[in-house]
Parts: sequence; structure tokens; C-alpha cells
Amino acid sequence: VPGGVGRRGSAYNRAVLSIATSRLRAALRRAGRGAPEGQDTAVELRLRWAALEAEASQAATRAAELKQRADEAQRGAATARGELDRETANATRLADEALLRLAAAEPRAREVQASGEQSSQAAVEFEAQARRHAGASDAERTRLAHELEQMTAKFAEARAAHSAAREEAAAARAAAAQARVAGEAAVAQARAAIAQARSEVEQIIATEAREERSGQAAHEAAEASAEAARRVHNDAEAEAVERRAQATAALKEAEDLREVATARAAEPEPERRGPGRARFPLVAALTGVGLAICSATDALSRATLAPSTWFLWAGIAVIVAPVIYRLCSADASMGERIAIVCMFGLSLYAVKLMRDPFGYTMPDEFFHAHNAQAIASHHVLFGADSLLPITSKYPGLEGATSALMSMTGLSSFGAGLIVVGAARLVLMLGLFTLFSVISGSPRIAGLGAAMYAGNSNFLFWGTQFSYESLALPLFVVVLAMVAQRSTAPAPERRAWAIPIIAVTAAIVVIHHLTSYLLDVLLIGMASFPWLSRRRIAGLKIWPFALTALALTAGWLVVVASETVGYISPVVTRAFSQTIHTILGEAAPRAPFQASPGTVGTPVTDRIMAFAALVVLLCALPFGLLALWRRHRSNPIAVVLGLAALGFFGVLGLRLAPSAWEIGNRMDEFLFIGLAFVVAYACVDRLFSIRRQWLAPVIAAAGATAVVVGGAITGWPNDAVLAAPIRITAAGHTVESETIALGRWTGVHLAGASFAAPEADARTILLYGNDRVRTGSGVETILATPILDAWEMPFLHSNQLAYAVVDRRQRANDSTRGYGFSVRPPAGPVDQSIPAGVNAKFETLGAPRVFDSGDIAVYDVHGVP
Amino acid sequence: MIRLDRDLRLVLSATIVCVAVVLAVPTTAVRAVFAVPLCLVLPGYALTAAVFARQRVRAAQTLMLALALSLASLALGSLLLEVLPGGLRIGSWALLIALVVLAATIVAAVRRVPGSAPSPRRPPTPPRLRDAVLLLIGLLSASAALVVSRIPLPAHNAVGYTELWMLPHGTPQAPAVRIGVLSAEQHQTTYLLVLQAGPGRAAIVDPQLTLRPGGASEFEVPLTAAPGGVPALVTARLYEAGSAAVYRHVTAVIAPPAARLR
Repeated sequence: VPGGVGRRGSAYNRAVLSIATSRLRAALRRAGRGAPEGQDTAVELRLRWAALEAEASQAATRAAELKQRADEAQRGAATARGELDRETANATRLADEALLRLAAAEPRAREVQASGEQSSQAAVEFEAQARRHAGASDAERTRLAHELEQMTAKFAEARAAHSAAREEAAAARAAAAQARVAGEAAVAQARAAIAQARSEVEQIIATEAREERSGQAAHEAAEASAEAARRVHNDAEAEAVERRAQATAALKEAEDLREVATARAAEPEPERRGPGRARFPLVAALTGVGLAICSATDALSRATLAPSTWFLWAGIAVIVAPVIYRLCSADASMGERIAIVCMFGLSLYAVKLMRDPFGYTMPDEFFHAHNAQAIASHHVLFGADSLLPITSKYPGLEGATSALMSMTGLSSFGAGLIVVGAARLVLMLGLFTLFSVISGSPRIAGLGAAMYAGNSNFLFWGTQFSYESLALPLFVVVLAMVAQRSTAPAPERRAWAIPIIAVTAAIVVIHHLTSYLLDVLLIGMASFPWLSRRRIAGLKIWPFALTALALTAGWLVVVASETVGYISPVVTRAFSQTIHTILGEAAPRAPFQASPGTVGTPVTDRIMAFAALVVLLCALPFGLLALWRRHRSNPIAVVLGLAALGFFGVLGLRLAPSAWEIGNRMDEFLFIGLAFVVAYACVDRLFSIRRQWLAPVIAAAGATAVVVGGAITGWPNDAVLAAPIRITAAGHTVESETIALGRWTGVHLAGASFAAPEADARTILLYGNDRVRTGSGVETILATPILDAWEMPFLHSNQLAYAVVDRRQRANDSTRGYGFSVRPPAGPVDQSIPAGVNAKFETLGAPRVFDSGDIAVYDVHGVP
Repeated sequence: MIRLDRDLRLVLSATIVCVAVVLAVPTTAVRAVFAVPLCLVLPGYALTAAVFARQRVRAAQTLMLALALSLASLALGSLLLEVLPGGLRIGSWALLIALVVLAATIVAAVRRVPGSAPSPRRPPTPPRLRDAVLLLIGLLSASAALVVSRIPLPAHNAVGYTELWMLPHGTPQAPAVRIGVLSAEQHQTTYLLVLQAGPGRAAIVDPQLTLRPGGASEFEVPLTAAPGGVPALVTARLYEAGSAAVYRHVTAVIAPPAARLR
């Protein structure tokens, strides 16, 4: 440290000087004793030495002061450097002061150096004088010379110390100069910053001035820019929402796939027999073979060769078993499953087409075909249907069919077949979608959709040209859409509202009972969260439920108020009959009971029907358990489970005579749930058996039993096969007596009104397009030989001009009454109504205008 | 400018073609081929595309929705046409369906975002020979089954019948009856047709009426006015050749001034 060195050097110098002084005093004392004449000189030299000593001490003191000042200057410079950003001006000032002090100290230092040199010269001169004047003892002089050399060395050291001090001062000066330069640079930067800030302020002021000058235009431009920016922002936001929705959908799809994969992983995989190649062609070929067997059986029946119904069941088994076997496989793709399910539904529909290839023969088909013809002919809806007026109040099916009739020129039969076929396709796709969405498993979905064929009305009743045949598939589609909506991401749910409401509205104008059931179902599902204390998830479908309810109520009040009078007696009668049966006041209805004149269900068929029930009953608990474990919080799954239970609940209605029809109709709806539950049982339990190759075999056998047993339960055994409606005789085609009657009335008595038995009434309605009445009252008039007093007034009051007497009891059977009469072994001989009915009218003098052997038509309008 | 994706262009083109064929071609079979997709597929597909323009729907669901919405459109469309002046005629149906398809297509095109259009499917790989043979067997079997079911067959155990009918004809001044005979017997049959007006003598209308199965014959028999102006009962009887038993008989009452056989 320069200051330290300086302070140490000054003390050292003083010590050296004091030693030199004491030595000089001693030398003088010795010199005084040796040379009295030099005593005065010595005193003088001593005085000079003292003066020199005082000057040296003063110089050292000044040097120390200078060093201290340099130190202070350095500290000031350091402080200036540290506070350069804030006090650049102060640092510059301190540096300047330090420089000034240094500049002032330099001359003094030079003066001290000069005085030191003078002192050296004086000491040399003192040495010479001492040599000259003292000289008494050489040794003493040598010693004194040595001491002088030492003193000289000390002075040299003092000079070196001065030089160091000067160098330190120079360094301090350089540091001060650097500090000044830095301070000047900082000042320059500050000035530049101030100048820049000033220029920016000036620019801002100028910009503001320009903006003020630009005025409204600039404002509008700014608003336009903001609007554009907003649009861009909105577009970006919408795109982001879409991207997010797409991402969510993709995520959902991925989750679905994961669920499917999880479900598949959880399912016990059956033994893989191939590389996963599609087996659809093989299944299709076997389906074709099955249809050929069914067609051959029907052909034999039409040829009155009385084939066994087991040929038909065999054909259906050939269709069902491969389908179920393939759907059980784990390596079938979803597309293959859908194709198989659709083909399955259409092939079983084809069985009905092969039974009725020439025209409608099922009870309700005549009403709706007549309505469709009336719409196509008169170009308006709501025409009168004399046999079942309520059908004309629900014209959805007939409206759609009449569209096809108008566009193609097809008859009501051809157009109706196409519409019902499309409905069947919708039904299968709807079932597959519904089950697939709920279970997440294509295998369960395929099996469930196929198992629905076990419903007792699937093969025959559900394929007739009737409003329920169209309403039921749309009902399933609504359920599937509600299920799909419940699993869709929130942004996509809104899109499902339009098709759900549109199809619901269509159901309302197609079929009364289906629309009522849909209302009940939607309200029930919407209420589930509340009823279950939130244990069942909410579907948020109150708007749909209320809309459906409003549409149904509106249609009922405005258009179809007769529905109440049509349905309420049926329900009331069924309820009272059920109560009577339960209380033992009425005999229960015997299952498979044959009506008079018909063949009862064979024992083997009854066994098959019961076997189907046993299979379903065995599968029920397993399926319900699996459903409970996996989907008990899903309201649609809960509904399906309840429907499966309800199927067995309404079986009891089949034992009550008047409730049988309600139980039969309910099957179609309840079996949706049962099919799903059975499919779950199949996948959950059956595929976990040890011999996995056996599982699809058992499933196929069980499903075949269920489908065949269901068909046996749902349709009379002697009406399963095709009846001889149109045959060839001697190479020419002739039609049955009942059909011929209908055509004859259409040609020769157009516009007339008839009282006729059930079957004849339907052909008169459809082929004759005439007004006709049947049922209670009419049946009594046309089947009893005694004329009661009320009969003719009844006919006149109902404006019935013609009475159709059919000797065959079969004529009162709306299911069997349309074919030729046959003789054994083709079937039993027709039983006749009591003799004397014809005579009753002839006695009255009613002209007999038509006679075809079994059928006679009497003109009663002029008979009193 | 609205940009139509490939599927929407196809739907619109198909609708135009189908409507044109349905309105212009008289042949039922040809019209049926074009009318079925026009009624049962195209409106539903267009509506599905419009409703689900911004989300992907699987092919099976698209088919289900297309069919269901088409059927619903027809059912609800019939109500709309009912209240419109034209009624439910071929022209109004064609116009309604075309408008539904057009509107739904435009909505779908406007609402669709890039990338949401159904991607064109890969062309199906041709089936292997064995699969093709199996599919052919299935198709032929099903077709044969349906064709066979449409062929009327001889039914020797069916009981044939013959229709005889008679209705008053002519005017009160020149009364007459029309008599018809239709044979639905299993074989060709010869009849004797006799007509009797009032208590008088019967007259043979046709002594040897031979009809093949499905054959029919009609007669118009004029009557003369009966004296006294009382209604006359006219009876027609049909006998099988070689049989004395009446096979069929019908009657008619001819209002006064009626009639006896001229």
C-alpha cells in the first residue's frame, strides 16, 4: 500500500536520522577532544545538521501529508467509480480536485527531493571538511566514513521511497484520469439518453399531433382494425373450439377404442380358428341356403303337399346358427358384424316375403294398405277406414308408402314391402348402435341385435305392413341417438337434438302406443337421477321428454281423439280379465290353444317354445349381474335391465284371455332389453368356460332355440307356412275364393257397403275398396240361422246394403281365412257355420247376387 | 361461393337424376330403381350431413340416420303436403324431396369445416375366388328362393270353386240382368246356365258353357215387363255338365215394371 510504505519510510528515516545524529554527536565529542580548533566548526556543522534535520523532518511530514492526500484522492476516485451512474459529476469533480492536489504536491515533492540532494551534497562536504579538519585518527574517520556511507544509503532509500510515492501519485493520477474519462463517458451517455428521450418526446408529440389531425378517420380505421382483429379472434376461437371438439372427439374415439379394447381384453377370448379373415361370404352362403330351404318348404305348402313346419325351422336354423357362431368370434371386424346383423334381419324378413309372395295376408296389413291406396288415389290423408278407423288418424306409414307408390307406380303391396324392409334395416342398425354405445363392445352389440330375433313377433307379426312395424325401429333409433348423445362431448350434443325431435315427431304421427311408450321411457330416464338419489347418471333429456309429451298430447287432442275410445276398452278388458283370472273367476287361457277348425301346436313345437324360455331364463341372472357390475349408473342400461325383467313379468298376461294381445305387443319392446342382457350373459359367462371352442356352439344352439321358439310362441303353428292363395290349375292361375270375392266387389259393386266376416271384410276393403263392417254384431248376423229382431235394423242403421255369408268358420279368422279350402292331407276340411244362415236371408227375400259355393252375397238394402 | 364436397355433389346430382327419371319415365320398374333411393336414402343423408356437418359419424350410424331420417321426412312431409294445395301427388312429392335435399345440402356445405367431410373410402379389395363363389352362392340361393316363392304352383289338394253372379241391368222400361260365371276349378269345366224369371218357365242361357280354370264369361239377358207391375224374382242356376244338382244359384229382384224373359 503506497500510503503504508510512505508512513513506514518516514518513521524509518527519522530513526536513521536520530542514530546518525547521536553518532555525529559522539564523533564531535571525540573530535572536540582531539581538535579544539575545529570545535567551533563542528558546532556550526551541528547547527547546520540540525537545520538540515529539521528540513528533512519537515519534508517527510509533507510527503506523508501528500501520501495521505493521494490516498484520499484514490478513495474519492473509488467512490466516484462506485457511484458513477448516480454521481458522475461529483466523481469528476473529486478527480479534478485530486489532480489539483497532486499537481500542487508535485512541486513540493520536487523541492523535498532537491533539498535532500542538497543535504547529500552538504553531507559530502561535511565529510570532506571532517576529513580535512578532524583527521586525528584514521580509524575514526574510516568509521565515520562508513557511517556516512550508511547514511548515504539511507538517503538513497529515502529517495527511492520518494520515487515510489511519486509513482503511486502518478498511478492515482492515471486512475483519476480514467475515472474522469468514465465520468465523461457517463455524462455523454446521459446526454445522449436525454437527447434521445427528448427526440422521442418530440416524436410522440408529433404523432399525437398527426393523430389529432387524422381525427375521425383514424378512429374509424382503428375501430375497423379492432373489428377485424375481433373477427380474427373469433374465427381463431371458433377454430380453436372446433379443433378442441375434434380433439375431444378423437379423444373420445380413442377412449371408446380403449374401452372396447379393455372390454375385449376382459372378455375371455374364444379360440381363434383363423387369421381373422372375414367369414361373411360363408355366412352369406349359408343364409342363402337357409332361405332356399324356407322357400322350398313354403312352396310345398302352397302346393298343398303339407310339409312339416320343421323344414321351415331347419331353414331358419341354417340362417341363425352361422350368424350367431360368427358373431361370437373375437376376430370379426365391426364392419363384418354390422353386415352380418343387417343381412340377418333382412333374411328373416325374406322368410315372411316368401310366406306371402302375392299379397297381404296378415290381419292389420289390409287396413294400412287400404289407407295407402286411398292416399295415393285421393291425394289426401285421413281418409275413412271403415274397418279400423283409428289407423287413418296415424298416417305416417301410409304417407311414406303413398310417396313411394306415387313415385314408382308400384302397388301398395310392393311399396309397403320396400318401406317395411327399410324399417327392418333401420331396426337392426339401431339395435347394433344402441347396444354398441352402451356396452362399448361390438361383439355384445352384434349378439344382442341378433338375439332380438328371438322376440316372438320378429319373424311374422313384426314384419307385417303395419304402423308398429315402422314405429318400433324408429323407437329404437331414438334410444340409440339418446345413448349416443349421452356419450358425445358437450359441443356435439346439440347436434343430436334435431334428429331426436324429428324422429320422435315421426313416431307420434305413425303409431299411438309406440309414442306413448316413448314418452314414458324418456320421462323415466330423465327422472332416474332424481329417483335414484343421483346414483344413476342424468342424461339431461328433459327437453326431449317434454317435447315428445307435448307432441303426443297435441296429436291426441287435435287429430286422433278417437284413440282414447280405441285403447281404453282394450286395456280395461285386459285388466278386468287378468283380475278375474287371478281370482279364479275366469278360466286361464291355455297356451298354444288351437281355435276351432284349426290344428293345434304340436308337442315338439311346444317343447321348443319352452326350451327358448328356459334358455332366456338361464341367461337372465348372469346378464343382469354383468349389467349391474358395469353399467348400473347408466340410465339406458338400467332401462334395458328392467325391460328384461319385465319380459318375464308380462308372460303372465298370456294366460289371461283378453290380456294376451297386450302381452304379445309388449314383447317387441321388452325384448330389446332382454336381448341385450342375454348377449351380455353370453359374453360374460359362456366364453369363460374351459373348452372355449364349445362356447360359440352352445351360443348358436341356444340362439337358434330362442329364435325358433319365439316364432312358435308368436304365431299360430298352422299359419306359419304359406297358404295356397294363388295356384295354377291346368296351367292357368286362379286365386282363392276370398280374394276373388274382394276383386268382384271392387268391379261390380264399387262404392257399396258390406257386412262380412273378418277375412272377407278385409279383402273387400283392400281389393274392393268398399265400405265394410265386421266384428261383433255382424258376426252374429252372418253366423246364426235365426233372425233376431235387431238384425235387420242393425244392418240398415249402419247402412250396410250387402251381407256376405261365408259357410266356412275360417272366414272369421283374420289370420287363416284367405287361402283356398283344402282337403286332407293338406289340412283339415273347413268347418262350417250352422246350416240355415243362407236360408235366413232367402226367406226374407233378399236377392242372392253372388254365389261361389262357400260364399254368398245377399242384397239386403231393400229387405224390411 | 359455397364449396360442395364430393359426397354432397353426389347427393345433389343423384337427386336431380332420380327426380328427372321419376317424372319422365313411365316404366314402373325403372322408376322404382330411382325412386327408392330418392325417397329412402337421399333426404336422410342430406339431413344427416347438415346436422352433423362438424363432427364425424360412423358409416353404420350414417346409414341408420339416413334411412331413419328419410322415413321420418316422408311421414312428416305427408302432413306438410296435406295442407298445401297440390296434395300428395307425384309432382309435389318430387318437389318436396328435392327441396329438402337441396336445403340440407346447402346447410351442410356452409356448416362444414375443412376436414370434416367423409373421406372417400378406399376401393374395396376384390374378394378372393373362394369368397366370391360363396357370395355368389348366397346371392343366387336367396334370389332363387324369392323367385320360386313368386311362382304359383299346382295345388291338387285345393278345392276349386265357381263364381256365379247376377245383377240387375238396363232400365225400368227395358229391364235386363247381367250374369257372370268365373271358373276357379282345378280343371276345365262345362256348365249349363239356366235363367228363370218369376214363376214362368226357365230358359237356358248357355247350354254348354265351357270354361278353363280362371276363365270367365258374362251374359246380358233382356227381360220383358211383367203384367201387373209387381216386382219379379229372377233366378239364375248353374249346373255342372252331366249333373242334375244345382251347382250355383243367384237371384235378382227386378223392380216394376218388371219382367219376364223376352
